[in-house]
Order: sequence, then structure tokens, then C-alpha cells
Amino acid sequence: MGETEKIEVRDITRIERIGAHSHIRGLGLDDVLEARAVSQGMVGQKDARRAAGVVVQMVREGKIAGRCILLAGEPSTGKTAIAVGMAQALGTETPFTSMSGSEIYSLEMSKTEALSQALRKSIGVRIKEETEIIEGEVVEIQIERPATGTGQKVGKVTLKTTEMETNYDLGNKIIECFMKEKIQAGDVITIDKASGKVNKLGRSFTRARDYDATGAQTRFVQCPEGELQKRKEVVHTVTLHEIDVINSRTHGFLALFSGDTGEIKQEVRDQINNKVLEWREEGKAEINPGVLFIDEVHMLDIECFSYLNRALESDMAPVVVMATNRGITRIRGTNYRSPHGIPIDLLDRMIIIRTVPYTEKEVKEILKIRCEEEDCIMHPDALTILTRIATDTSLRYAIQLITTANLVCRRRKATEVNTEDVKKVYSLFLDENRSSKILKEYQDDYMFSEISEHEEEAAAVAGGGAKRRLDTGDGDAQAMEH
Amino acid sequence: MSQTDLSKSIEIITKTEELADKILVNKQELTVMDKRRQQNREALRLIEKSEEPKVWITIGSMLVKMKRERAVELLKKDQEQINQQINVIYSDQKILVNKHRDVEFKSPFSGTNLKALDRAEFDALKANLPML
Repeated sequence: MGETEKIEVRDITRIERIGAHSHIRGLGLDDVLEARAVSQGMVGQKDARRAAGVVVQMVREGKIAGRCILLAGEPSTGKTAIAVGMAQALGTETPFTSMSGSEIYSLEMSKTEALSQALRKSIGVRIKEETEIIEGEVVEIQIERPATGTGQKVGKVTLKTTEMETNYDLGNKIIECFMKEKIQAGDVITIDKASGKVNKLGRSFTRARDYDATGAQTRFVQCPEGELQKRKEVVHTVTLHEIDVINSRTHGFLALFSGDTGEIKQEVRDQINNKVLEWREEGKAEINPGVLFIDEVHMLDIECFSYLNRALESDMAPVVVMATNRGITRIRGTNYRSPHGIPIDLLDRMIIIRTVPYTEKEVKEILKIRCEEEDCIMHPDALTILTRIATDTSLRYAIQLITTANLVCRRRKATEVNTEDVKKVYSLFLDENRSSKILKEYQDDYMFSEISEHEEEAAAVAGGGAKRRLDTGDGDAQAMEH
Repeated sequence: MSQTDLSKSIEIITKTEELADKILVNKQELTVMDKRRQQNREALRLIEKSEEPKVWITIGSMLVKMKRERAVELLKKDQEQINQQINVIYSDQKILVNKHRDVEFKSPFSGTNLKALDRAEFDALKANLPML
């Protein structure tokens, strides 16, 4: 196996949380951070995009670690889209963690633990690995064995590259390695200078005709070029969370894959912080603060907010981007009302970016982009109707109709979605407005309709569920957009 | 395209090519140096193994017979010098590559200025993070 080939810059896996934003490739800004009307999947929202662009620039320069940005705006005005765009614009170098506010409510972990894991996932540590390897094709190999069968073996190997050739005397230990890997003339190998590990990359092309039949796993490679003794430097980015997990002894690294990391002790974290800071002092590591994006941030409660307040003061804090669609509402876990459902003291630390509702033209543009993304060819008339639907109901509903209309269109073996298809799916699938209208109309025919609203409230108060009632009562109609 | 644009483009292209050329020359130099290092190493090995009190070695184009210890000393000194020179080329190369990326309007490779982590430390990380 070519292990050296596997050691490449590992890119941080970027999980697309919502397929609805798969068409976004960046923020769509030009060199001077001016927003282009339609670019990289982004449409409109010029001011918000420019603001996000400035934030991205500052993150790149490492200037605003430990600060907070709030994306505030009505539902479906592109808050998550801007966050996804920021992630794309930051590139694979900078860690970007995306989570939803309600992800922290888990039975396995306390809320603050979930938050601090998310925070530490967003901080990268850049470290460098340096190895000296000898890489070449084996021209000849001689191993002398003592007649008794045991005892010291000595040997000699001739290695070559396209430019040069040289002999190495082999000691006992490295001969063992050679024998274990079954190295023979014609193999291309690497020897790690520090550890003496021998690795077989494959057989040289020039020796391809040595045998008539070869095993299926034989790999043929070119004879290496240039110098024999090479220096390889690989820069890795690991997140603080990964280092945490492998150092919390109770779980071990397997927890990284199962995702079941459990709670990590604060002492472990402190130790790791110290070690990383030590590395940084010695010039061995760079801290690369990334971005933590918390969607639906109004779902966090007062405890989380005060924890965040504190966590942002730490010298290893990422940039936290939050998004909310709430106006003045209750802070979860209290009876106080506050703008965006976020305590004033935290709000004070934030830079607030506002998103504005899309105009009809922009909606059309977005629908067009979504059509392209979903490989759906749509007749201009159908697109106009869809735009109309989007402005009357919601953009999300219209986007749903693209996929469904496309399916209907394929059912009748056509390639282009026409107005009929859109009309059909419009009648097949209700939007939120029509659905609630029907509910109101036929309320009496549904189950449990005999309980009037007044009675329900009384029952809820009696059952101690008053809090829940208030919660749902507070939100606007689109509170349950996910 | 106006005259100034044209001259500016030419200037950028020349600079890029110049740097690229330097990088390639350095690469060639590295190969040559390594070749010399390997030959030196082979010679050192052979002389250390031989039992003759005096050995023949070449200095430039001259063939000289000298004491074995003296020859070994000379070769070792040579080896050190070669290693030093290779290190210089490597660090030079890093600067050149980043300069080249700069004229091509790409951001420099991050982390090249870092010191490598200790072997033991890195092995510990590697054993636990299979994706490294």
C-alpha cells in the first residue's frame, strides 16, 4: 500500500446541512467586496452579502476571533444561504461548523458540553510534519544469510531514480523490514529515514514484462525522478475537538467516528490548550480560528447564552455566526422578552447583519438557479407562474414545487416543465395558507374538535404545561419552518 | 488593450517566468547535490571499511594518496557542507514558491513557515487520528 500517497493535506469534511442551499458556491462578491447581482448562486441581499464579505475577510486575516455576528431577518430571506456562502468563501482551510440551535438538547450531553464541543470543532490547529525519505527503484538486492540460519544478516541494496543510482549497506533490522515487505529487484520503495520503515509503492513500469502473469494487486508505477533522498513536508489542520477526543482516555479515538464522545473533562481541555499554546510559542503550530454557525439561535436558552458570553472571552474562541428569524420575543428559559430572543448583554457584543425580503425579480432569479441545480428545464411561462406562487405563499413552497413539477413533467414523458405541470402540483400540494384555511373551515370534522380553544388553555394550565403553550403561542406562523 | 496594460502584463509574465525558472534551477540543483551526497556517503563507507593505512582519493581532478583518518575527516566535512547547502536550497525554495504564487495572485501556502512537530508527538497524533 502506498502510505506516503495517502498522507496528503486532509480537507475538513464539510457537511451540507440543508440540501436547499446546495446551489450556493460563495458570497458572490467581486475583488472590492462589492456584491454582484447574481453570482455563485446568490441573488439580491446586497448589503447583507457585503457585510458577510467583510466578516470573511476579517476571519481570513485572523482579526475577529471571539466575536459574534447575528444574521437577523424574516423567514426565507436567505440567512442560512449567507452562512453557507460564508463557509464556501472561507474555503477548506478554515474550519466551519454548522449546527442548529436545538441540536444542543440531548440526553447524553449537557447543553454547555454540546456548545463547547461545537466551539472547539471550529478551531483549527495547523501543524507540520516533516519526513526525510529515500525513494527509488530497487536495481539489485543482496542479502547474505549466515549458514546456521540464525544470527546477523548483512546485505546491500542498489537504488536508482531517473537521475542517479547509489548503494546502501543494510543492517540486520532493516533487512527484516525488506524481507517482511518481500522487496525484490524492480520494486519502487520508500524508506523512512527516521524510523527505517520500508514501504513498497509498486513495481516499476520498466519491469512490467518480467513475468507473464502477475497478481491482481500488483501496481505499476513510474521510476521516481530527481533526488533519492527527499524531504516531505505536510501541513495538517486538526481541530481542537479532535485532539480533545483522542486525549480523553475513557473514550479513545473511536468515539470520533461513532460520534459518541460523551463529556470531555475540563482538565483535559485545559491541558490541551496549554500544549497548543506551547506549540505556538515554539513556532510549531498555528491557531486557525474558524467559524461556528448556529442556526435558529432563539432555540438556545438563557444558560447557553450566558455560557456563550463567557466562552467568547477565551483567547481561543472562534467567530460565532448566529441566525434567527424572531422579532421581539421571550428568551427561552425566562419570562423576559428581548429582541431576537437573545439577552441584551450578548446582543451588545454582536454585529447584526439584517436580511431583507426578496423582491419579485430576485425570487424569479432564485427559482431559476434552483431549476438549474435540480436539472429541471422550465418554460418561461411556468417560471412566471411559479414566481407568482412564491410571492403569494413562500419561496420555500415554490422551491418544493420545482421538484414535484419536474416529476409530473417526466411522468408525461416531456422534457420541459410547462404551466400545466405547475398548476397540477399546485393543486396536489397545499401551501401553509391554504392548509390552515381548510383546517378552519372543516375544524368540526377533525378529531378532538369538541375541545374549544378556551377549554384547551385551561387544561394546559392545570396540567402544568403552561410554559409550552406560551412558547408556541409566541412564535409567528412560520416558526416551524424546519 | 492600452500600452500601459500591455507593458504591465508583460512585466507580470516575465516575473512569473523568472521565478518559475529559478525554482526549476533549484530543483535541478537539489538533485545534483543529492547525487554528490550519495557518492560521498558511498566513499565514506568504503574507506571506513577498508583496512589499508593509506587510500587514494580525488581532490578536484587530482588523484592523491593520503592517510585513511585524514581522508575520512575530509569526507565527513564535505558531507556536512553538502547537507547544509541542501537545507539552504530547501528554505530558499519555500520562499520562491510562495513568491511565485504571489505573482500569480494566489495566496501563499499556509503553514510552510512552521517548525515541524517532534517525531514522537506527531507519531502519537498519527496513531490516534487515522485520517492524518
